[in-house]
Formats: sequence, C-alpha cells, structure tokens
Amino acid sequence: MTTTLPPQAAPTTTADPVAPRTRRLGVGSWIATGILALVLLAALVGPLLTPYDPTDVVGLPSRAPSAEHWGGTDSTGMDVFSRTLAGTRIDVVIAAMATLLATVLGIAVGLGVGMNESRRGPVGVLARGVSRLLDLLQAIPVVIIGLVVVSFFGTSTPTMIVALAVILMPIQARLTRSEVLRVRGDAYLDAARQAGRHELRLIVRHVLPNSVRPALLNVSVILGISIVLTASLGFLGVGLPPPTPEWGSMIAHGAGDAAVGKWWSAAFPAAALCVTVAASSVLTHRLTVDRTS
Amino acid sequence: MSAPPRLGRRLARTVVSVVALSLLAAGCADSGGSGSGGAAKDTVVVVTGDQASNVVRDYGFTNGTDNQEVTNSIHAQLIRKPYIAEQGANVQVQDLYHFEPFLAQSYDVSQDGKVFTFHLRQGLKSQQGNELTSADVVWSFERKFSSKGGGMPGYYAPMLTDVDKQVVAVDKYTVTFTIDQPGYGFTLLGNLAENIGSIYDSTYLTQHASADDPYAINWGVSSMLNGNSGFGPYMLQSITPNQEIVMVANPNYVFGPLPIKTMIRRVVPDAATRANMLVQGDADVALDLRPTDQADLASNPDIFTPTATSNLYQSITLNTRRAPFDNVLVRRALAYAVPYDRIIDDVYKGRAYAYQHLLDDKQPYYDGSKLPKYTYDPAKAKDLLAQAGITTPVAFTMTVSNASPSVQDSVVVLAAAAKDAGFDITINQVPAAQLFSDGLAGRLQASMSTGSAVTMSPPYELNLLTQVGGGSNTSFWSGPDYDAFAAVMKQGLASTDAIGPEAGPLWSQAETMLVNSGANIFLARVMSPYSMRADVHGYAQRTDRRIDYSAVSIGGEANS
Repeated sequence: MTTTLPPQAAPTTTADPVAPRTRRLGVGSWIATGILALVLLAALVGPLLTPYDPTDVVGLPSRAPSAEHWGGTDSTGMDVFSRTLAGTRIDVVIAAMATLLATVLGIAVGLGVGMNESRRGPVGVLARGVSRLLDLLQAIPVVIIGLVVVSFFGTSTPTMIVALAVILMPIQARLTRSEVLRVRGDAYLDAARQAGRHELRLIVRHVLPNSVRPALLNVSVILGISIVLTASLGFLGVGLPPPTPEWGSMIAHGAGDAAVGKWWSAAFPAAALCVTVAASSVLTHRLTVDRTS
Repeated sequence: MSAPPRLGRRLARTVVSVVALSLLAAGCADSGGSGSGGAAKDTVVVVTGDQASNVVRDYGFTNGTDNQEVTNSIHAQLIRKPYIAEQGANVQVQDLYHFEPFLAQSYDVSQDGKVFTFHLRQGLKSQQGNELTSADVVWSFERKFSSKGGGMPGYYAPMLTDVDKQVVAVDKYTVTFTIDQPGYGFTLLGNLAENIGSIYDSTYLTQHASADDPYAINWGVSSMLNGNSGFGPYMLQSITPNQEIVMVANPNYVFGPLPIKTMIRRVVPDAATRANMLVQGDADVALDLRPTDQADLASNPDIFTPTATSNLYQSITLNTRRAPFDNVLVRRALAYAVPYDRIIDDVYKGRAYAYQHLLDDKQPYYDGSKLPKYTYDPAKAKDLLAQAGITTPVAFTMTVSNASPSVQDSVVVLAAAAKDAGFDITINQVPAAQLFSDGLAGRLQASMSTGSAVTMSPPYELNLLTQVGGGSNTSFWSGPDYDAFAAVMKQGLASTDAIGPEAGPLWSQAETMLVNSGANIFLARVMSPYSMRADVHGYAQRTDRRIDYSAVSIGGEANS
C-alpha cells in the first residue's frame, strides 16, 4: 500500500514567532504619511480648488508672489500656485499608474523568470534571456530609456506611464525573481507537485504570496522614483506639452528666471516635488529598513 | 626654539585674518574680468549659447549663432552694406539699398544693367598670405556651386545659374558677373554682400584639394582650424570643444589693424547665466539673451542694449494643404485670434514691435496701404469661422522649436487667447532641426517661429516663403490666388530695377496678396537679442543680426 504525505503547509501568512517584533511608527513616519495623504488629496481635488485656470494667462508675467497670486506668475502670466496645485494630479497620477503597472508587470515577469530559468528547452532559454534583458535594462541610465520611449511614442499621459513602467519594471522583476529562486526549492512546493497540483495554481497559491513582499515594500520607492522621473522628463523638454501644469517642465521653464532673481516660478513646483519625494522616502525607510531591522 | 603654543595660535589666527581680508579686498576691488570704462582693451569676451561646429559654408550651414558669427568673422566679400544712423535707434544699422566696396576697390554696372564689373584691391593678402586675384573670385563661385550642401544654387537662382559663363575673370584684378535680366541686379548685389558671397583663398585651398575633394570642402570640415581660408578680419587660433573658441585679428585684413586683437568666445548654454556674466563683468558681449533679461538689464548703467529696427520677424506658418488651414477663411480667422499687443508687451517686454507684413517699409516705392489690418478680434474670428461653415472649437496643433524661449512663451499666450476666438491649440515642442524638416515635409499643421531674409531684396524675401520647393516654404500656398501672386512676381522680376518705381508697387501688391492669403501670419519684428557692457563701442545692427567685430572697440566713455 502506498501512502502519500499531505502537502506541507506553505508559510504564506503565518507569522514567524522568532522574528523580531515590529516597532511602532514614529512621529516622522506619521508626518510623512500626513504629507503623502495631503498630496493625494491635492491630486484628487486640487484642480477644483485652484484660484485660477492653471492653463490660462491670468495676470501680468513674472510677478512676484502677492495676495492676488500666492505663487506669483510665470513668464507668460500663468498663476504659479494654481499650476503647482494642478500639477500634483498630473505628476502623482502618472507616478501612481506607472508604479502600479511596473509592479504588476515586474511581479509577473519575476515569477515567470524565477520559476523557469533553470529549466531546459526553449522555455528555459527564454526565461534566461529575459533575465539577462532585465540586467541590461537596469544597466542603462533610466532617463535615457525614458527619452527613447517618449521619442518613439510621443508625449502624452499614457506614453509617460508606459515609459516609466518600462523603466521601473526590471527593479520589481529582479526583486521578485530573487525571492522566487529562494522559495522554489522549498519542500512544500515539491509536496504540492507530488499531490498533483497544477503548476500555475501552485505559483499563484504558494509561490506568489511568498515572494511578492519585497516588491510590495518597494512600491513607495518606485513611487518616489516615478515622480522624480516624470519631472526629469518634463525638465528635459520631453514631458507633457505646454501649457500642461507639470512640475518638471515648470521647473525647467522657471530655472532661467530663477537665475536672475525671479525664484518663484521654479521654487513652488520644486518645493512640491521635494516634499512629496522626501515624504515617500521617509515612509519607505520606515516600512522597509526600520521595521525589518 | 619653538614658539609657545598660545603664541603660535595667535600667529596663525593673524595670518588667516590677513589672508581673508586680502582676499575680500581683492574680491571687492575687482568686480570681474571685463570691467567697464577706463583704458582701451584689445580683448573681447563673448558669451554664446552654442559653439560653432562647421565654418565651411559650402559643406552645409548649421543655423547656430556661433557658427554664423565665426564664419562671418573669417570671411569677407567683394562689397558690403554701409552702416548708417537710424532715427530712434541708439546704434547704427545697415543701409539696405546701397553697397560699398570691400574686397573690391570699386564696381561698375553696364548701361543695360546686366554686367557687373568688380575691380579688386591690389596687393591685398589672405589670412594665409596669398594675394587676392580674380582667380580667387571665380574659384570661390565654382566651389559654391559645386556642392549642394550650402544651398548656394538656390540662393543665387535665378540670377546665377551657370557660373562658368556668368562669372568671368577679365584680368588679374578684374572680374565680371553677367545676369540675364537687369531686374536681378539688386538681389545679386545683396547676395554678394552677405556671407554667401564670401571670397576664398584659392591658392591655399587648392593645395589641399584632391581628386575626390576638388574644392577642399571635406578637408576644410575635417578640422575647424582648416577654416582660416578667407580675407575676413579674424582667424581661428584655438578651439576647445563645447567650451571656448579663440580668434585673433588677421594681420592682413583689408581695413586693419583692428582695435580688438583677440576674441574669446565662451560657451554658456543658459541665457540667464549669460546675462549674469555680463552684469558681473565676466563678459563684454552676451549673445541670444531673452527679452525679459534684456528688459531687466535696461536699468543697469553698466550694460548697453541696442535698440533699432530689425529684419527678424516672428510669424505663424499655416500648412495650406492640410485641414483646417486648407480654407482661407480659417487662416484669416486665426489672424484675428492672435493677441499681437500682448505678445509684444508681455513676452518681448518691448523688445519687439508691431509689424504685420514681410517687406521693409523703408524700401523705395513701398506702399503698405492696402495691407489687411489684423488685430486681436475674437468676434471677427468666430464670424469668419462661421462663414467657413466650421464648428468651433477648431482644434489643431501648433509646433514650435524647444530652443526658442520667446516663441515658446508666445505660443502659450496665443493658445490662451485663441480659446475665445474659437480655436483649441495643442502645443508641440520639437528640436529646431525637426521643426525645419517636418515643416518642409508638410507634416505640420501650423508652426510658429522667427525668421528673416538676410538679403533684403523684395523678390528674394517674397520668394523665400513662397517659391515652390523653396527652403522656407512650409505653407505650400497654391491655387488661383497663388497663381495671381506668381504672375505679379514675374512682372516685377522683368522690370529693369528691383527697387525702382516700376517694380516697387508690384512688390507691395504681391506682399498684400501674401498677407491676405493668411498662409503666413506676421506677428512682430524682434529686436537684437544681444547686450553688451556699456564701454563696448561700434556695434551696428546688421541684417544677419551678427556682430561685426572689426567695427568694435572697448574702453573710454560708456554708451548710453
């Protein structure tokens, strides 16, 4: 009589009793969370609250901040505060969508590559090829990839999202792949296979939950990078077309004015960018480094 | 015996304090490298946004400021336009309708107006020390027409089509240019007075020619320092890529010796930084400044900004082959949707002036009374769109160069104002080269740019924008209205004098037809984007907007 061992339970949600207790969030984390919440709120309702139409010429050009124009006006007479507020939605939406797309694609690719790259035959060759391609993509400066993608497909919000997702996907894919390589040799997977579980079901039910955590923890890093990259492409003149209020292009447009003392048209979007990325960075540090140390 | 520690510390503090105070004093005493006022200087520091990369005009012309200024400084022509005073200007300008000898001692015109004879200066030497002869003139024109890279056949059509027959050396110091119609004469002279008429040292260049490169064009391009092949006031001494070009005075210059012996051209990509360097005295001349910076500099007594009329126009070109601008009513409607005054006041800060047509209104026998008067009138624009049977808003894409801050700002102002006139404009910013190539390929619906004709001859200016296959024709204007325009142009060219009483009214008539077509909407004329330290003298505004450094001196009383 043959007996079959029941599959070993996968350690999906079981807390490790030996793992150190996670620390409580500190004040800095709460401030960062509050700022990010405000940024998200501004992205949602900001364009409805702007004192002026952010794409319209509403005053004399290059006016310093005043009661009438809180952030002054830029060299064409557009209201800097309204544009900075409206720019939140554009930058955050592009960054959030790109982060989501990069993470979903990255996890899928990482799973596929990690599970197959040691196989023989065409599937294994393909997986190893994709793995090297991910290495290659990570070796090329991200702004260069962004410039190439945008030059091919033009500048629009969907193009920017795709460009950023292409740039950032390898990071998530490589994180996931590393975890998959660690997990795939676990005994419970062999047991599940011997129990006749379909490979796809096995990946979804057991491998995915146990290898996705690093990529998910990395989301806030990716979000910060996305915001900076969106602004960078805008700064380099390949972002969204003017007069779209986007922080990077606003900084680029105002940089020349700042050099001759008219600081405000670049300072407001630059401050918004810095605060958002700093908050994202603080939160990331807290969630990843502090809580796992 | 060593000093006690406390004494050592005191000594050290004293030394540090003295050094710091000395540095501070030195810093306060010297506000910069250039300074202003005082003794004459023989070195000029120019800050430029780009750097010349090719000074061989016949190989291909890159349209950068530095390329043109360096090329202009190396070369000289048979004749030139004299500098004259202009009412209301604080600098001299070029006389567009007269020419004076330059490398030629004199020139005369045959009675039928078809043969131009140039008598060269004798004993005049090139930068390489070879004497100027008629062979240099003939060889120069053979070289210009041997390569399509410089576009010379296009610039010289229809005046010169067969240089072997039309440009002839009579003797060692005499050369003739023969044209088919006397009406071409003024345009020919205009071209000969610009950099497309530069004369090269054929003795030097033929030494470097080969069977594959009979005019040493490729040899010239292989190193920029090979470009010292002319008779102009300055020659290249050193080139540090992306940083600096140093030019020195040509000891053999026709009107030498020059007050400025050394010209240092530093690359400073950011316009605001160039303006700052001028203020700090780190540069004598700053090129390609933004109008806003020039307006800010106006109150600085150490800085001088030229104010004079200009031939640089800002215009919108509409592709008449593509909807919605294949309809003349839509084109005219857009002409009423442009906030002309706001662009001049807010974008150019007064460094531009209203000018809604192409030709020079000081040209002899000019009559602009029949030109349409376009103003910002949204109601009229909407009325015209209704007449055209087009539902508003009319959406289209306006393409501009991403290297022209003033044009970029202008198009934002236009897009905002045109909403009320029934237009929905999407702005597309592309590199300048792409704007040019896409425009010529007919891929653009509309574009906004600045442009000019260096040769200010009415038929030349009009043809530049309208000639079939022309280098600046991106409107592709055609149809019965264009045919009527072309007929008037032909009539003008057949006249005996291009700026005479017979031709003058015809050019005005043709220009009115062009402006009525709406294919090109002229917004304004833009003044020189250059400013300089107040002790820089001799600047004259040229039609090519480049500085004639041979006329410049530094020192003495400040300009005002």
